[in-house]
Amino acid sequence: MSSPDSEFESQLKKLGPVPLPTEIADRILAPCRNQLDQRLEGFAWQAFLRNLFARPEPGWAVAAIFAVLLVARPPSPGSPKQNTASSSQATLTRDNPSVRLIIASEPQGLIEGRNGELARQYRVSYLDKSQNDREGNVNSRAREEVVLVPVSLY
Amino acid sequence: MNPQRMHENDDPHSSQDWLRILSEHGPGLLLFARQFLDHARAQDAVQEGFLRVWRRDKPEAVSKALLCRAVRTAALDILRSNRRRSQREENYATEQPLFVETASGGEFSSEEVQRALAKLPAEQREVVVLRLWNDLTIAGAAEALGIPPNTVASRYRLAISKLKQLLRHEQS
Repeated sequence: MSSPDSEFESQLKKLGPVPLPTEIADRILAPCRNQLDQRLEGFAWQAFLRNLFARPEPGWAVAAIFAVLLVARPPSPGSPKQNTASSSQATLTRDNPSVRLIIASEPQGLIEGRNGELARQYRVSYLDKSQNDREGNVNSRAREEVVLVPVSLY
Repeated sequence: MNPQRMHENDDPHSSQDWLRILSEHGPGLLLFARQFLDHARAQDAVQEGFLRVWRRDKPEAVSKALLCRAVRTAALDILRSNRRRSQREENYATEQPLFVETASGGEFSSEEVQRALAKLPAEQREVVVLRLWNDLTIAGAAEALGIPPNTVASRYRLAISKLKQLLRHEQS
């Protein structure tokens, strides 16, 4: 049998805290959500890298990173308005992607790089979304780059 | 370095865990913060308290007591920064409703309970809110408040006794 106090307490517990209205919850949680979003993007980036590193040929990963760095470089002065990604990760953000897909080819043999160092050559394909037309619309464009990965990085 | 090992602690689902924790505990935390602050600043305290926990802990390590403690610290910081500690009592008795009926056949209305709670000293009120509406044990409430469990227990007994008196009196 319950004590008088626990009976009284259970009566009080029939009331609950007022639920948070959506707009208040949003306001309270906004900073967390922003940071969570960033963290989720970080996870997506890490998963991307993890998959690349999991491949038998580590050169794939290195080539892909080089490719991302390549397309993430800031636009030159006077060029049409583009995404001004300052890091490789920024180019992969969900809301402002400039690179959608990167496919690195199998290594295409060793060549001598600019500074005389041996490098492995990869052909990297990606979808570039950073090109705007005159009206400012984003035009996705498949592009291809040749990337040299110094052998010393392996 | 083995990349798999490097990322073994990164679980993409943990972010979803944080969102779940927030939606599960948000109302109780806001009610708790309202024991110190007006409605708008209570929201600030919940936001700040949650952020502190989020930055410091993993979701699996988060308990209600931990969240309550962080929200309380944030609420007291806000009080201190605004130099309005003296308003702690009057902040509580604002026009915003604090409760809703979650089960039918309750003996007391939300207004009656809110008025009765407002007449308790703040240190008793917070213990009652933690125990009844945040489902903390005596030990959990002690952890949240940073005081010994015996103190929590005695404050709680006193608070329940006073509340009963006040509500019976109001109904008669």
